[in-house]
Amino acid sequence: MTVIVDQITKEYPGVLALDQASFKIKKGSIHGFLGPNGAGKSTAIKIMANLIRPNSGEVYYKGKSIQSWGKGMAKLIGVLPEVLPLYEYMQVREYLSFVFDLFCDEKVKREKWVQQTIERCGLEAMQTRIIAHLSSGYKKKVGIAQAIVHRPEIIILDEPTSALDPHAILEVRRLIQDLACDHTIFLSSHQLKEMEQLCDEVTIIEKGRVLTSGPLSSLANHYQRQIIINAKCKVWDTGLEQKIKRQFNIERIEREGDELMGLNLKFYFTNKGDHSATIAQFMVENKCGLQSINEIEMGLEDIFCLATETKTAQGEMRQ
Amino acid sequence: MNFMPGLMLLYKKELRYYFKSPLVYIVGGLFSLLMGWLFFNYMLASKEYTPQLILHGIIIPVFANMNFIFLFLIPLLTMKVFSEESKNGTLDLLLRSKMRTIDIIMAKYLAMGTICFFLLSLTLIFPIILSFAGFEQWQIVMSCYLGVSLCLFFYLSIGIFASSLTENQVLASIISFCMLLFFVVLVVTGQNMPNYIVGQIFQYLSPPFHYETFLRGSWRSFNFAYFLSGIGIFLYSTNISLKSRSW
Repeated sequence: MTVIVDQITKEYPGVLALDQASFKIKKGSIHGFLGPNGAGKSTAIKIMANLIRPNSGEVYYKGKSIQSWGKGMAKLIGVLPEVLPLYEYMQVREYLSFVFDLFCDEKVKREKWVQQTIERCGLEAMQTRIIAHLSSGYKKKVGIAQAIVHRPEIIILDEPTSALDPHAILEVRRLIQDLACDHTIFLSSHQLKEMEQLCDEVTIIEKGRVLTSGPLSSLANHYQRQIIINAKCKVWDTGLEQKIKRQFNIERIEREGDELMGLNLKFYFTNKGDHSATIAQFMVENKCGLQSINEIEMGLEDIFCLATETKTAQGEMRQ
Repeated sequence: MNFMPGLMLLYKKELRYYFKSPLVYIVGGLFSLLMGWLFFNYMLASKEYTPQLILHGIIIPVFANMNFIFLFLIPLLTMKVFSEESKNGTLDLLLRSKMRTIDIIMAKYLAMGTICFFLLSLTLIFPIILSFAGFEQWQIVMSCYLGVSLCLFFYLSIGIFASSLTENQVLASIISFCMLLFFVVLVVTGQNMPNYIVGQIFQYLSPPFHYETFLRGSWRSFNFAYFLSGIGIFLYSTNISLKSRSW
């Protein structure tokens, strides 16, 4: 594990921002940090960036605690905070050179690395422009560029696509995917779709408590209560519905469309197994005119809803 | 400067920023105008241009007023130092960098000091003009410049400390001005104290009490000790103020 966040608690006067939050980030992964506004994401990021200290708990980078890293942390991590840390009166290249010198001592590499960062972030045409004159999309790119200009191993991105137009969002997403090739990325957002598209692992946080954390696939398995098989066919009636319910352990069947336009059936199973094969076999044997069949995979949205529901229910039971 | 990594980098960046922004030129223009006007009036008021009259009728009043004018200019100059960085999120960038907090403070403090020397350099024309009238007491002029420089560095440390307390620049300048005024007014309070010892302590704590000795050219080591310890205390307080962000 590259990063281990171990039982961190942070309390502001009257507010418990983080309550014994723990999670691990695997090397080379894009780790999503998901939660509603005010969940404690930014506080956790500030603690991970060594900008604030937790009341208890510790963050470990490559097995060493933040405190033992000291100023060595500067080279290890790159951070894109929610408020972009830009000197708006500077030119893009001038700013990136300044940030490079702030974080890295290897001045011989400055020109080369700054140039490569500019190219990677698509800022070639903007490098001599004053930052204040750039659009919000380009400013965000400059923000990402400052986080990577000194080639840190770990990049922390806080809401990298917030307040951007759809075109800029796509460009930033592409850039994040590109960065994942040679960096470990910790990505905070409250946009479920974005996280689902980008992340290998995810940590869900709410009211300062980590609800769940791990690879998306294993979380889906953990939270999956139902298996839903979606089938398209031409023939279906109540007789077949009763027959299939008797034969297999199906919780319910949903039917849409008609025989003329094509029927869309959803079979809900509570037990795990390869249900699509058995349903397909049943439909072929009963000449239903099967056109397609697939299992509906569980999305991050479902995982998020289930995780928050479960914890809320547990909390209510405890009370 | 390996013992203070990044200090020179930030110092140069700060200077570039200030000399690119209109603030320094506006403050410099205002300062030159006020000082020039004062100097001109003291010149007119002086009936004779003997060395003693030049010293007591022009040099000392001009430098006394210069210190007073800086009382208003320093809050304007220092209000941005940390409050703007904090508001723009760039302070976190600096604090995450390889620079230590004290290096960041020193770089900004020295940059502000350089700007103050730039402002002071605008007044060098006055002794040059007076030299044509036969004025030759250069050691007193040097002493005046030394005194005003120490005062300025003391005021700057207060201004920078005030700027580290809030993200609001206007509030930072008000805090800074109130603190400066408090220190200056202490000398008046000290003079009017019925208790002699308490009065002396109050006077000792006020910058004008020490500055006056430099104007007379009769400064002592305790005057230096006062300014240097004052500067040290406020820069240390700024260090604590910035570090308290992580609490």
